[in-house]
Amino acid sequence: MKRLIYILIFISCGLSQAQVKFTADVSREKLGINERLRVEFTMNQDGDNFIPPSFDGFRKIAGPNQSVSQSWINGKSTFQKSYTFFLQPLKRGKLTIGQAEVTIKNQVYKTSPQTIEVTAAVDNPSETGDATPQSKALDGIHLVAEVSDTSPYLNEGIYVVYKLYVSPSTDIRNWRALDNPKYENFWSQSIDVKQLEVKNGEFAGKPYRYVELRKTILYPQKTGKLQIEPLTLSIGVEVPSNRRDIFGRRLYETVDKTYSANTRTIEVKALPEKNKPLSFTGAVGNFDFSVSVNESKLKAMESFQAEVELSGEGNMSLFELPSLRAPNNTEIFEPEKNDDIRTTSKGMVGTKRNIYTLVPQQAGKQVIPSLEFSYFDPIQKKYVTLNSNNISIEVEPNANLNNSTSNADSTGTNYSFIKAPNAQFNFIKLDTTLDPIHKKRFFKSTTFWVISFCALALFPFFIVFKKVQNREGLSESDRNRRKANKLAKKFLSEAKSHLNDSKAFYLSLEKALHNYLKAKLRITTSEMSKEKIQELLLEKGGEKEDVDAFLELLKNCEMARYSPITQSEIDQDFQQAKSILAKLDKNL
Amino acid sequence: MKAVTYIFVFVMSFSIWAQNDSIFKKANDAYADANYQEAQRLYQNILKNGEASSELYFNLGNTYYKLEDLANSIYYYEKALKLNPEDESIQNNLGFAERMRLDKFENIPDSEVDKTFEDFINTFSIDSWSILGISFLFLAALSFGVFLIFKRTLIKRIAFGICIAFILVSAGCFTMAQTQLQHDKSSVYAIIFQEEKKLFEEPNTKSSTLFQLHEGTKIKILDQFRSFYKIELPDGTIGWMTTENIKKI
Repeated sequence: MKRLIYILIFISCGLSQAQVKFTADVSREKLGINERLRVEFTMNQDGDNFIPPSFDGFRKIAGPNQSVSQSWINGKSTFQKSYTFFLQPLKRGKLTIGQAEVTIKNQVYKTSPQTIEVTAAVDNPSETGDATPQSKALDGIHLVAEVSDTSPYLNEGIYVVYKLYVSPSTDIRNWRALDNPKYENFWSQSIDVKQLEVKNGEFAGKPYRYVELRKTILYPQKTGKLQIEPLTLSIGVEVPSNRRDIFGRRLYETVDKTYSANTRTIEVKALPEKNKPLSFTGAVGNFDFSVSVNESKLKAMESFQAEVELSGEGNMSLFELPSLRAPNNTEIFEPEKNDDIRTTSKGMVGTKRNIYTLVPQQAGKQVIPSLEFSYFDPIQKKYVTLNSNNISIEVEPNANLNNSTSNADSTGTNYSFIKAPNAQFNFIKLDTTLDPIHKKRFFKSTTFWVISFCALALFPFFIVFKKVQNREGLSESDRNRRKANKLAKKFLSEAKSHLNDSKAFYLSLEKALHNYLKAKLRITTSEMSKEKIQELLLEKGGEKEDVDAFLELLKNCEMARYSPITQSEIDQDFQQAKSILAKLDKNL
Repeated sequence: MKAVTYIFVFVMSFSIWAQNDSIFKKANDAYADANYQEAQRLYQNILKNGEASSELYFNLGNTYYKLEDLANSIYYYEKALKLNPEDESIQNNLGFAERMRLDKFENIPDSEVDKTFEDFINTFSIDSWSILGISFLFLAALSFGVFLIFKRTLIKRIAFGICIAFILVSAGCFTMAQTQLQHDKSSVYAIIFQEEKKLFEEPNTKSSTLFQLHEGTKIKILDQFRSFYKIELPDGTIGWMTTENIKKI
């Protein structure tokens, strides 16, 4: 029994599958050039790869509008899928609408070509001619997906709006979404439409009412061709029925019909590689960037806060703020993130904040280095780099801390606190005498050596000078006398060495005295007689006593040769010779 | 013709000097108007023209300090101090700049004797010492002449004494000059111009890192081996460092 049922089902399926219908219906076969034509390609099984014919001689006003309907009547299901085009003829005469193709179950089906006759313009152009009120009502509904920009940059915000156009002659009851589009490769955020607002607009050149059903902001995350899946709605449409009420008015019945918006393809452009800044992390839009601190003067080990703020519009929640780098001797904590981002029809707008808490460990002036943030501006089509200012913070030594605590930090250095200079930061100096940078050093230069050598050469010069001067200032006899003087001295010293030997002593003493006379009186040994000596000495101005003593000495010398002399006498004579020579010499 | 060229060159160089003075004034005005970028550019122009002075370096240091360019600021203050080691305002402002620096070292205290001796050597520049030495040498030669020529014993004695004393003083001056020259040659200081720079144990980037030094730190260069400097820190640590981003004072 069961088997029989299966067989029956199978046969019925086979029968229904075999009856594939793919037809092209035109609303009219004859129309004026100022009228429009509706062409509907209908299939009774779901097919893919629908290829519409090229409508030569027509201008496509709208379409393809896709509609799918499925109904069960008396347990029998009927499926219908149709693509509708609205065409406006461009010329008069007989025009042909070519074959449309569709693949159903891997088999290609084609419609037969339709011939249309276009006549001259008619006075009262009707819309779709002989359309039944029912189909008219159903055709008065269009679901359209509008995309703000079909070729955005990667990460540039675009939006897609689903609009439901309803012609004035159609009423709808309700709708529900059958298939919510998934935005693959997009970061999406839908904007809630709080209250549907019915607006008047135009569709295909005719007045329509429309509502914006949904609005979604999309940020493409991939380059290349991306598809937005269509939204499919099931709409309850009020269609006039053939029944009438007792007053003869048409009764309306609600028919559920499925509408889906067209699939939109978006071509996402890659961001230009040229001039791409290093600090670029994917921000696209238009931003302002700033870093601020709440205190610029504080004591060591006290905390302050630094805020990195970014405001503007763009893909705000899709990138991170650049992180703050603290000076090495400052402790920095994880930032507190404080985002205030709203999604509007322009995209994400708002501010992103990272609030850091920093604790300087050491006194001194510390600089928070500037942060760089870059983004791509899709309007100007170029990268923009923003730099925050350097922020300097004056950290004073903390009296509560023991100054000797030195913090061995990661570098392993021991820090000692540097005292703040007491004085003010000095202003620039206003006067200067500029010198060449590469001044030659004088020390050890050639000039230096020459001058020093000159100074040293002065020494020998003076010696030579003195010598020359001496030689020129003395006569021959002077030189002889000098010699004699020296000799006398020499002989007296010789005599002195013979103090113990009386003979030798007196001999040398006599010689010395003679020599002396020779030098002083310029007489020779042969001329020496006592008288002559006395005379000459007196003549030269010698004192009488001295001369006598001198002669006495000479006499002693002669006597000593023949008589014995005591040691005391020798000493006495030596002393006397010395004193007399000195005395005489003074006067001569 | 040659003479004309000389005169031309002379006049040209003179005009450049005169120009430098006016640039210096202009730069001062720019600094006073807080237009530090412009002031920096003008001061650098004077340096490009081949002239400098302690004041110029000081003003450049101030300008970079205002621009928060730590390394350059310290670099030019140090240059100013080199020309004029006793100037208090330079030392003061250098102190300000050093407070921005990350690396802070305990200086090894110099012994009192060393310090006094160094101060004494630094009373005069090398050239002043050598000029002094030469002057004393001349005076010694003159007194030697006096000693030889005059006959009176007292004068001779005094002249001889002075001569010997002056020779000794002169020799002393030359020693000072030589010591200072030696000192200058052996103490080459430099400033680090890189935010972070590693100090290595050996002249090899793969050797272990002693620690990181930071921008603006003054280091003493002891030696060079290939692309490494052997450096000494104020606290006496010795290590090796690559030569890039280091500017000798």
